[in-house]
This record gives sequence, C-alpha cells and structure tokens, in this order.
Amino acid sequence: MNFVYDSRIRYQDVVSHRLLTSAPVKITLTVLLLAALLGWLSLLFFVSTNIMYGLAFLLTSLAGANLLIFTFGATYFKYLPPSKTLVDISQSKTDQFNIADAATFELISALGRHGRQPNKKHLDRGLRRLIKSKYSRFITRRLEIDRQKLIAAFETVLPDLTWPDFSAGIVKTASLVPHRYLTPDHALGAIMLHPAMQAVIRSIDLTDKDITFAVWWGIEQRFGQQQKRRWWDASRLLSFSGVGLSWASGYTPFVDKFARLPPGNIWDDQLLGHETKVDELINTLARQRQSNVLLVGDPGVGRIGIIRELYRRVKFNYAHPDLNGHRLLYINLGELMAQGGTSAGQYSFVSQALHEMERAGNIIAVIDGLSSILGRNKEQRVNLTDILSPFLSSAAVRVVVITSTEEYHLRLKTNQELNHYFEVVMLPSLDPDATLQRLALTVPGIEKQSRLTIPYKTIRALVRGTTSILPQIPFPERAFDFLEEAIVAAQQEKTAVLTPTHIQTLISRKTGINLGELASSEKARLLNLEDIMHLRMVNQNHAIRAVVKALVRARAEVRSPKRPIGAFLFLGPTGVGKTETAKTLAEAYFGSEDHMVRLDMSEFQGPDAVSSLIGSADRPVGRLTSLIGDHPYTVLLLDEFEKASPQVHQLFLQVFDEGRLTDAAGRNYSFLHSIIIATSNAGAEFIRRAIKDGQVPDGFDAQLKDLILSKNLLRPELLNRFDDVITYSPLTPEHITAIARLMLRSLNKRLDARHGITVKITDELVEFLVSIGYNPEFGARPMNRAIQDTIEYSVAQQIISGLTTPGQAIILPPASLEPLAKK
Amino acid sequence: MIAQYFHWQFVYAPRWLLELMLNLQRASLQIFSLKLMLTTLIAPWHRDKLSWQGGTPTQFAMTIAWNLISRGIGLIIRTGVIIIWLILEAILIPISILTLLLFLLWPFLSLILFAVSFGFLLS
Repeated sequence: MNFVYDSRIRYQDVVSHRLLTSAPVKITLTVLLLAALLGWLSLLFFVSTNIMYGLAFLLTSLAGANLLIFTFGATYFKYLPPSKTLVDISQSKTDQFNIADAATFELISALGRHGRQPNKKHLDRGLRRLIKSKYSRFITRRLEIDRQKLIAAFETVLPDLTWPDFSAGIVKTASLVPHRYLTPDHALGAIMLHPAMQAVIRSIDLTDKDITFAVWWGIEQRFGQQQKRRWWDASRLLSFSGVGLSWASGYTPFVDKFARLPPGNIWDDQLLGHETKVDELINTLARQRQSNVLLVGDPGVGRIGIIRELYRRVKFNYAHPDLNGHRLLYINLGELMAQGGTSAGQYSFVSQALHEMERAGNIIAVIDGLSSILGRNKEQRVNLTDILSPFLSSAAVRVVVITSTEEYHLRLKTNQELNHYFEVVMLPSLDPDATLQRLALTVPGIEKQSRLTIPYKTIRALVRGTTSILPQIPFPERAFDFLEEAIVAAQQEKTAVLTPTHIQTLISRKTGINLGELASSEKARLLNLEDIMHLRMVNQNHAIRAVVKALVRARAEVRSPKRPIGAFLFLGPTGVGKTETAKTLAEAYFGSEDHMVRLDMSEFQGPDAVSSLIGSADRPVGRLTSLIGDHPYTVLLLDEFEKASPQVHQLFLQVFDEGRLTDAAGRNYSFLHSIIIATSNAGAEFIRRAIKDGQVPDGFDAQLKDLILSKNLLRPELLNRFDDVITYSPLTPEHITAIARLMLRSLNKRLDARHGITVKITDELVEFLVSIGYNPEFGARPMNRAIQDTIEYSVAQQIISGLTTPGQAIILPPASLEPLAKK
Repeated sequence: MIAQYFHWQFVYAPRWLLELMLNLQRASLQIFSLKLMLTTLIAPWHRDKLSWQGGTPTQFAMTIAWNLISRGIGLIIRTGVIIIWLILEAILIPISILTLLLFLLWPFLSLILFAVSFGFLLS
C-alpha cells in the first residue's frame, strides 16, 4: 500500500483554531466582558437611562457572541477526533491511504502547511518545524539529542526523503508503538528510525530499541497528562466513593485496631507488567466459594501496589459487582500475634479476628506475615489449619494472603489442606523491559522530588547494570534501590543531572565489577587477551588460542545473548595449568583473580547432589546458586566435572542452554555474565600417549571425544554444549624450565616486597630445579614443591640467621641445595 | 468553518453537555450509594440484631423491640440520605436542563439582546 500525506483539508482546522483563539480575539473578548460588567454595574448603581440599558445590552450581546466564537475555536478543532484510526490503516483495502486522515491535530499542526502538491521543500520545512516544535521537546530532552544537530543530520543523511517514504515511516513507527491515531511522536520516531539515520543514532550510543522506547514514553507522558486535564471524563467524575457503604455490615472494632492500608511508594502506583494480576485477583475474590487468593511474590516485586489497586477499585466501584463497596483490611499477623502473648492467646486472637470479619460480611482481608503463624512445627501447622479452614471455605470473608516465593515453595506448596482453599496468583520478578517502562513513568515524579534530571541513558544503564546482580531482590525493587542510592550520591555532589556514570560507579562499588570499564576497554582486552595470558602461562598455546577465539566470538555480539559468555571443557593431566588458565582468564577478563569461584564436583555425586547445589526445603541455600548470586561476573571453575552425578550434569544442561537456573525457592539466577570452565582428568592417559612434544596429531580432538563418550564419562548432549573442548598437553622439560623461571620470578617479587632481597636466577640453578622437580605425571606441582623445599627453605634460614641485607641478591649454588632436595 | 460552527453549536457541544449531565447523575447516584440505600432500607443498623433463643415472653418482647429499634435507626438515617439526594437532584436537574437550553439558544439570545439594545439606544 502507498501512503501519502495530504493535509490541506485538515490544515484548515488548524488555521481556524489559530484564528479563533488568536490574541486579538482574546483581547477583544476580555475588553468586551469587562465593559459589559462595568455597564451592568453602572446600570444597577449609578445611571439607569435608556442609553445605559442599550449599551449594557449591546456589550453583553457582543461579549456573548465573542465568547461563543472563542469557545468554539478553542474546543472544537482540537478535540474533534480524526476520521480514521491506525486500525483503519491496517485494515484498509485500497491502494493508497492518506495518513493525514488518521493524524492527530497536533501532528497536522506540527508538520505545517503544504501547497497543492506536497513537495520536497514542504517536507524539509515540515520536518524542521516538527523537530523545533514543543512536541519534540520531551523525546529529545530525554534522549539528550540536540535538536539543531538532529536537523543538520537529517538534512545531510536524508536529502532524498519523499513524502510517501516519510508517511510509510510514520505508519511503521506507529505499528511498533501502537496508539489510536498518528501523533507527532510517531513522526519524530519515523525520522530517527529511518535506515539512513542508523549510523547517526548509533554514534550517540542509541539503538532502534531506544528510539522506539522514547516514542512510547513520549506518547504515555503526553496522553497521561491529557487524561488528567479531562475533568469531564466518566472515570474522573466517578472516582468518588459512596457514603454509608458499611452501614449494613457489622462493626469490626477488634480488627480495626490492627488494620490499616500499607503506605505506598511513588512507584507502587504503576501497575505495568502486572495488569492482568489484579483482574485475576478480583475474579477469584468475587467467587461464591473458595474465594481466597495466595499472592506469591518476593518483597519488592510490587505486591503492595497490587493491593492498593485492589483497594482503589473496590472503593470506587469498578472492581466487580459482588465486591464493590467492600472494606479492605490489611492485617499484619506478626503484630496481631505479638499482642497475643502466649500461644493459646495468639490462637484466640486469630480466631476472634476471623469471627469478627465473618460477622461483618463485607470484609476483604489482606493478610501479611503468614510465616509467623505457620510455625515450623508440624503440630502448630495442623492446629492453625483447623482454625482457618472454616473461614476459608465460606464466602463470608474473602482472604488474600501475601507470601514470599521462598515461603510458598518451601512450606505452603506442600500443605495440601491450605492449598485447597487458595487460588495462587504468582508475581514473578518483572522482566527488564517492563522495569524500564515502570522506571520511565515514575521518573518525572522522582525528578520533582529529588530536583535532578534523569535522562533516558541513565535509566537504561540502571536496568542493564542491575539485571544480573542480586537475584534475591526482584525487579523493580532492585532497580529502584539503586536509583535511590545513586540519587543521594548525585545530590551530595550537587550535580543537576544523574548520569550513567553515577549508576556504574554505584554498581561497581557493590559488586566489585567495574561495569563501565568492562564495556569500553573490553575490546582492547579481548584483542590482547592471548598476549596477556601468555605472560602468566607457559605453553598450552592451543588451549589459550581456543579459549580466546571463543571469547572474542562471544563478545563481538555474534553470540546468543541467552547463554553464558563461554563454556569450556578442559581435559588433560593434573598440574598442567587448567586452574591457572581459569585464574589468568579471571584476571585478564574481569580484572582480578578474585573473580573466580571454584566448585569441586566430586563432592556432588550422591542423591542429594542437586539439592545441595540449588537448595531444598530443608536447606534453602544452594551452593551453586549462592555463588553465582553473589558473583554474577565471574569465572566458574568446575573441577573434576565428570565425577558429578548425572542429575547434576542435567542441571548444567539448562545452564548452558538458557544461561539461568531456578533454585528451590523459585528464584532465578543468571549465568549470562559468567565464563564456565569444567575440568576433567578423563582421558589423561590417552592424551599423554598421543601428544608428544606439544604436537597435536590430526583428528585428535574427535578421537578424544569418542573416548570420553565410549567410556560414558559425559553424555553426548552435554559434550556438545561446550563452546570448545580444550586439551592440555603434558609438560616437556623445556616447559618446566620456563615454568621454573616464572616461579622464581614471582618468588623474587614476593621476597623483594617483604624483605628487599632477591635470589639470583642462574642457568645452573634452573637446571638443578628441573632435575629434581620434573615429573611429567604430576605436571608443574613437583616444581613448586622443589622450589619450596630447597630455595625457599634456604632463604628463610638465611633471613632468620640475620645473614641477609636489603638490596642483596642471594646466590644459592645448587650443590648447597642438593641435600635439601627430596627424591 | 460556518458549517463546522453549526455542527459544534447544535450537535457536538450539546452531545458533550448531555454526556456530562449523565455522568453527573451517575456520580450523584454513586456518591449517595442510592441503590444500596434502597435495597437495605430497613436492614438492621450495622447488623446489630438479636436472635431469640428461647426464654420468657418479656425477653421475647425485648428482643423484638431491640431489633425494631435497630431497623428503625437504619431506616431513619438512610431515609435522610435519600432525602438529601432528592433535594440535590431537585436543584441539579433543572440547572442541567437550563444549561443545555441556554447553550442551544445562546446565539439567538445574543441576536435578540443585540436587537433590543438598539431598541434602547434609538429610543
């Protein structure tokens, strides 16, 4: 379908509107009204001649006519809806569609007038007007785009833009950000989303997704404000509660003492991402029997926001006929129980409260803190179920119980009796997109409170940076927590704008990862990764190259974003540098050796292996999940991987595929920023025999894989999910020599730092060390021991005897060390 | 523009006014909870009722008396609310109708005033 833009007819409305609300009309109106008033006042109090009457009537009639014309001009053209909607465009069966028919008054006004045939000159002028108009202010301000530069950019990059092209772009943007009609925001988005503008947009660190979001934000903002001004709308007029709603229901003096509506935050009022949940809640509560809901969600996910929305809807009569006018009581059981004293007293308190609510008949009880009455003791649980059951099965009291996911999964899910009465409404942590939207809608209010400006890039950085960390706190709370802290930091600095740097500084302080640096110097580090790693490691070129290759591929955004950064299997004999590679990788990629966590998989062989990794009812905290939760940006080293039970291998299938794991308490843990390295000694013999002098024969990798599969050490589907299987060749004497020198150098660094002395590294010394420290079966570890037993011991002796002075280079002849060597 | 003006004067704006009046009526019904008042007109006040569980005739009489009083309180208060609503409606409805009429007749009234003014000025 072709799209054209012909606004000649509709532009007449704009002209009429401007004419009838222009300054002269306003001035005339004011003057006439005042004059008429004066006339009538004089008539009443001073002169009452016919001329006065005549003047008064004349002025009144003129003022009346003027007012009528002004009201017509001010209200008709702006509020008259366009003749077509966006839906009409998509359903139209004609060849050509004039999008001006579906454009709002603002868009027609923003693009300005054009002649009989809209041509290039009109387009340029129209676009310039649009960008400079007030309609573009919000989006450009939020995206921190300089409007003059945008005009210059599109004039350079889109010199051949035509009206049909532009119109099609507007329709396309509107399909991405649906709204009833086409608005100036859509038009602005169409310019910025044009393929030719991609390079310009990218150069200011924005993507198409960001532009689309900004268009959405602009529309929400504008129409939200417009809705607030429409006092005549049914929804505004009917937002008053009625009198005497509870006159026909019982008193509840006891419960009233403990019941209150929990206070909300500025972001509790946004329901984005949870809209259907309130409807689910209401539909269940309106049932005649079993009308109770278990609202499951972690603190911070927005449970109180949902309760407050329920409260609003019930109070203002737009919930459900059976629920309208009910009273919503929020009760914290902990408080109730605290008043009760003894256990018997507590039960009677709960019982009294429930009885009272049942007699009243119009109560919706929201109960928080259930864990305080569902004791760990099985007996206690049974008793309380007896008390609660009669109430839960009738419709006299409708109950909403708020609980956390941990409580639900670990305790309530298995309690069959209670479960029977409740419909479960889950509130999972919001996804990052919904969180970004909520933040966007809440930001104007936050800006007013904090007197800071918060541009789009800042909230984008906030959501990106907090997505993978602190999984125990759900979105949106996690994002808002960080935002609050960042705002405080910025206020202390007395800046006016909250920048992404504030966010990144805060996050790196909390997680130890310098996020900002990770992004910018990451490329440099990736390209030099091989060299950096070779500084610490000897040999294993094949291994290092394979790892670096996979990582570069991963980070150049060629990889799927739903997997860990990399997953590798290191095979080879002991002591040849598998762990060293992991440590080096952690330092080179994440900035420090500390960003490596290690699990010995031989500990996870038994039937309870999986539950010790991800937790269970008895043991809520799993080792794996707590490690990755605390260190989301890490190298995860899984030693002796083949020794773990098959169920554990199954678990890791999910990690490699989806990059995340759900623990026993229902929380999600992200592995998207981790590099997983599994090590194994499997096939060590085969490797030793096959690889001589570091030369890898052809077809070696395939043979090795076959060996592993044939011995059933790892399942095929698991083996295939590793980005690469890397074999570590045994160390030759030359390697050991180099390693010996490396170890001596690091020993010297330590000695220099602590005592100011060094050991002179001679060829004889190194040869001696190799002679006593080389054992191909055990890799480089014997060398470590050899150095400890001989050199370190000798040096220690000399230090203690006071034979050393700072600045000295100690000479240790091999002959003197020979007696110390253990054979 | 003239055609648009007439559309606004006799179709668009009166329709808006009617909608507004209807919404105001709905709002008044909601604020005074009229439906609830009528359906629970003689319900016991805050469900404060006694149920008779056997005893002397005197107790029986007292139970009945108490229940009647409870319903009576409810009746009086609710009737009061209904009366207030009726008074409000008695004011609101005429004002609404008058506003609508005035608006429809506004251009004519202006013309009439204009003519009358000349009458006075020339006399």
